[in-house]
Amino acid sequence: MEAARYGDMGKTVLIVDDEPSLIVALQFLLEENGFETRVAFSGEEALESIAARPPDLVLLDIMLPAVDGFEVCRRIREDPRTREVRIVLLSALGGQAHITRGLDLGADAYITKPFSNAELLARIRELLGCA
Amino acid sequence: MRLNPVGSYWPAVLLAAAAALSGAALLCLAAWQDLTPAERTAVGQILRRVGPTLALGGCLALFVGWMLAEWIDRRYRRPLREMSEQASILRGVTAARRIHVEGAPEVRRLAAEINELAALLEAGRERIEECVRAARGELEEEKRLLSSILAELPEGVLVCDPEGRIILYNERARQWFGEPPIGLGRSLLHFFDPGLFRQAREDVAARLRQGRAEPAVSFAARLPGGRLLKTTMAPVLGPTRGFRMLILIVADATEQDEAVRRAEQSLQGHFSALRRSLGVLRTTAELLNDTRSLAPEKRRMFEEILDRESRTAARAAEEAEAAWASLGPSAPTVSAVPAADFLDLLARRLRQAGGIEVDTEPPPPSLWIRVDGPAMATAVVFLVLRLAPPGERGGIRCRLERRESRALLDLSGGIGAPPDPARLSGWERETVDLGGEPLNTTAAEIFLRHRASWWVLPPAGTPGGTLRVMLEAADPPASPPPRRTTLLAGSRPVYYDFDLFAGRRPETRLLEQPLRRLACTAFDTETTGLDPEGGDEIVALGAVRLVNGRLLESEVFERLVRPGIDPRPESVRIHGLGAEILRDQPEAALVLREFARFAEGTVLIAHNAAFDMRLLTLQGGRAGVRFDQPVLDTLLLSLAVHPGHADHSLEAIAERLGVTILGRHTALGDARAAAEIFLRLAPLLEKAGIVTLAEALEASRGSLERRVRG
Repeated sequence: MEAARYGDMGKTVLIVDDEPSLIVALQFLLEENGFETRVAFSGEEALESIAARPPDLVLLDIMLPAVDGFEVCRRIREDPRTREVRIVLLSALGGQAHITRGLDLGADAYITKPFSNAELLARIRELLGCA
Repeated sequence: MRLNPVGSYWPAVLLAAAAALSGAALLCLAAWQDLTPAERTAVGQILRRVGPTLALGGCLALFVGWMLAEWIDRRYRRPLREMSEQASILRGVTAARRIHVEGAPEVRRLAAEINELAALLEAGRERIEECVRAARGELEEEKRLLSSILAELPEGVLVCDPEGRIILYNERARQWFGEPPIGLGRSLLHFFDPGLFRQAREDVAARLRQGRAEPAVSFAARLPGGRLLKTTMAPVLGPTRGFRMLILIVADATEQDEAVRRAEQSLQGHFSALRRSLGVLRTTAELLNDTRSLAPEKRRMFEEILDRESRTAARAAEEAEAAWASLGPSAPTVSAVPAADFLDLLARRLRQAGGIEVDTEPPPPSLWIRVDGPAMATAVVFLVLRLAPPGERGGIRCRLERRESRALLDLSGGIGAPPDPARLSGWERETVDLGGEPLNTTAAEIFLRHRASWWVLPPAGTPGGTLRVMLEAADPPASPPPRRTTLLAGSRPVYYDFDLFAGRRPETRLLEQPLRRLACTAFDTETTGLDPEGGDEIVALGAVRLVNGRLLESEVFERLVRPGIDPRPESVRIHGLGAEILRDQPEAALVLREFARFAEGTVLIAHNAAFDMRLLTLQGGRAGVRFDQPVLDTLLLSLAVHPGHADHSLEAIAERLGVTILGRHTALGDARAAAEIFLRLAPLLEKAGIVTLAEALEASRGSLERRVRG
């Protein structure tokens, strides 16, 4: 899995989750595959980070304290400067209601936990146009 | 009563006398004009001579006239006046008084006649009062029974007029409505959300206008004390289908609702914890597996994560199982309704509350949703009013579609772009207010109760945004419909008859029961011939039931019987039942056993009962059944009432009492005739002092003795 092979260099992914174990694992996975990563542990933190420097893609957990993933998603889409950022919702909430709502609010993909690493990478590459 | 009885009488007499005198004077004057002067002189001389005598005569005549007038006054006028005054007392105050007057014999006879009428009036009034007392007693008994039934109901029942004034309620309703206690004549709206009550009433009215067979509506109401009542409102209709009253059937859903909600929330939490852990586990495991050159410290770190997360996952699974076990039935305050019904309700509310024109896309008939319709409609209307500022309210398009186990309700057009989420969640927590009375709930609570979520979609193709509410979809029920809750005044259901209970009070001894209260079986037999002792047998048995002075059309016994011997030809000529008709009928033993069960515990009635009873005794004995209940004979009872009549055949009595016999000489026809004759004899017997069964049996014995003797 050498990064150079896929030409992913330079694409930045913001991982938003309040679960440190998952963040560590995801960070390792993405960096192994040539992405640059940034991390946020809450909705507010994520919004600040995005406003400061929009990433190419946000891996967004829904169940976050205070400002939840749906709300982060909506605000990203509202702000003209961040409108183009790709959003993948990574959620422990299954069920039609959450999926429909997430996609309605402008997410590009909704992935339910648990997911396979290969699937996650494939969706990210597809959304970033570097497959 | 006049204070001056002379007033109108003497002026009339004086006026008449004055008129007579002036008439005479005028005549005299006219005659005087015709006379010649010589004649006038002559008349003058005559008058001067007889004048004093004439004057004396005149005075005498006046005196006699006065005496005559006085006599008429005393003998006729005064007594008549007194009579009229006393009669008005009889009529208006008490019929127990009698008129006493002095006067002419005609006047006294008139007084005597009036006294007799008064006696009749008095008796009639007493009778009416007695009937009213009896009826009131029965009514009280019914009321007691009804109220004890109401008291035992597990649901709260409350009846009020359309304005909410409480007419009736049961103990359960009183408990649930809490403090201050509800009371008769008070307004329910002190205890119950007035807005919700009026909305529900309008919904019921709308369903009635649409001609629905089932106009009752169900909804949940949060009481000021916090209790959640699952409520069904049904109308009591007048003869013209107008509202008379409303029945509210309430059940306390507070605890159930909270328990379900708590369990659901914790279950949801456990499931998402489980998914989280699984997510970490999978990602980490795959990393360990797929990454070729993994530094040892990284490997150790991922292995620790694996270990920790698998324990977290196991714990989450256990907790989810426990929560699942404690989860009762699904949310108690929502029920499955056709999506079309809900849209209809929602459109009406939007029009009422905001004057918003609504364009509804008809949903497929197979789409049902689980909602507390009135509450959900209210919450949606509330949000629409907040999202669409008054000046910008255009028409709203409304559609419902199914998405797997959910149903999406979309309202678009006239909804502004999505506002700041803080404001959205602020609205959700406001008290719902549609411009009338604010309701005692919030939109958030309503959505939570429905497991519903909502959000606003940004404008896409449509002007303005779209309010999307995600509801639970349901499948149409296989078997319609729920219970009928409409009550039509005037149509009394057959199973409501308290008279039936009244007649069975065990403490009342049978013999002391009045005839009109007895449970009786009137019966008749057709036979092979007229000589039971000589071997004649029953070929047909018919019977009807009388309860509390009514013939019960639904309780009829009618059987043909296969006799042991062929019917005699003269009998066949009467009843038409020949051997070939009877060949395939059941035998007497079987029919008599059935009849014994039918007649068990009732008084038997037959016309010329002795004959029929002999058959029952003889043939019943062979079948092992006994008929030892009291027996009344319409023939003997008729003799007791009309001893003067010679003919007491069934036909003669029927004609006398105005009973039409349908099917003479069929067992059932004659049984029914005997029953109707008994019903008409009962009041006549009562008049003759024969009221109870014991008295009727005694009178029958008397009739029998008279008949035997003479």
